[in-house]
Amino acid sequence: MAAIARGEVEALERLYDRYGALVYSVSLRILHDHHLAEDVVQEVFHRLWRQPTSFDPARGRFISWMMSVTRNRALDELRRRNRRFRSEERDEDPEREVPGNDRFDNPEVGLVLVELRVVVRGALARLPAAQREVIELAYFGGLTQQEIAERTGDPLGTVKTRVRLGMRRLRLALAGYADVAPPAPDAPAGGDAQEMGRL
Amino acid sequence: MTPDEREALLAAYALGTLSEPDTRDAERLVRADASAAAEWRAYREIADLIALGAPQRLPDPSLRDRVLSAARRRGHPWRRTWRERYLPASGMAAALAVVTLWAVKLQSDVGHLQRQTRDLTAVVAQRDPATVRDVNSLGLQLESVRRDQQTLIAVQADPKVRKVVLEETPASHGAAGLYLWSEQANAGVASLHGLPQLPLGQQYKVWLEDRLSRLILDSTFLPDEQGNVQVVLEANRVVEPVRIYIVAGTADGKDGPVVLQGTIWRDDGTKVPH
Repeated sequence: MAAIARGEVEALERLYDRYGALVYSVSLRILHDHHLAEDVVQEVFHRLWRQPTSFDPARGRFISWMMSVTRNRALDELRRRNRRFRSEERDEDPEREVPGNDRFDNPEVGLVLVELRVVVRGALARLPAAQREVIELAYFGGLTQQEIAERTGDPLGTVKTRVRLGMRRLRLALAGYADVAPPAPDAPAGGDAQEMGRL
Repeated sequence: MTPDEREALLAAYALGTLSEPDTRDAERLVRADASAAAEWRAYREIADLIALGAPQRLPDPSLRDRVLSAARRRGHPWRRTWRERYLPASGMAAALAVVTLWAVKLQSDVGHLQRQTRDLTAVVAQRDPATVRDVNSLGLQLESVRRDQQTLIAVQADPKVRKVVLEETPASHGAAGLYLWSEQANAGVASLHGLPQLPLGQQYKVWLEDRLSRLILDSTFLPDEQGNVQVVLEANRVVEPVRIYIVAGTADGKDGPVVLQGTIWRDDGTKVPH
């Protein structure tokens, strides 16, 4: 980022090689439209180039900031589009994964990122399906808990509990990687252990 | 609030899945309680990592070239010339001057339309249908210009008016703009310059969104031949706009690219410095 702040295009090039595919993948997962996802990638890197100081290392890690910017921008676009074209066909299957070695799987440019990605995907995969569903609807769909309840037909309280338990499990699994403390221990008998099994 | 309810609120806040009233509760909690703030930050770190769970997809290889060539073409803000560097300030002054000139022009338009209406009203007595239509049309124009004028005066008179220099996007092509928003008047004025010309039949759109990215106010407009235009946006209810977008329309009526955009308030409700 310091090199970008000095105006070195090569630094932006390296950053794109490391994160470009990831930013695109997240945008596509949210928007289901490769043209819109490409627009988001352009905007995210445009912002990085024009406002490199908008990332403050004191407030967290670069990957977290980058993903937050990407998600917010993609969700803005999604809500903007949903308001107007609810019936528009989506042209991408976000679950269809490209196998093998794209740029952010290249050990030369992002070994840590690859490892982190494997850990996150593993943690998400190990969540009970109902918890994973609400978290993905919230994160990638930009839905509120109320909207998730309406979509899934579950009571709002159940959705809230699933969000809490799912996030707690993710925090337990990712605490070491996200450089945050694990959550406080579970509540005593009758608490989360039972709820986790049920929900 | 039980510990579970508190954790549920903070985790959901970090995930961005709370309704607006719950979001305000969470904001209050985080502001008032340091341990809640720490808990929320920890969950936010986790939430940001969820992005890595997206299935891996590759963009078109040409996207890399587009991103990098745009950066080379536009140069870097720290390498801009003194003229470019001070342009935002001078641009703001120029845009404010344009808004003031527009207010003067509106006053002149009101006078002109009033005179025309008076003249035609005298003729209406003869009950010529065409003249009656002209009078009605002039009356509507007069009403519209007067409304714009009143809104503009109210916005300019607000000592706490927010002035937002709109940011470029890859689709700006040299366009620039200023947005004035008055909470007191519940209205705003966008002064836009150098907008790219659109093909015949297409219009620009201006949108105001709230903190949940919900559309709260919109309008369509056409700039003049130089791409300049002033647009008044007035809400008939209390609204809290957070972002403004200037969007090009497309031939099929869909939304084209965002040409200019601005943040009036941060998502956490604090002011964006300007």
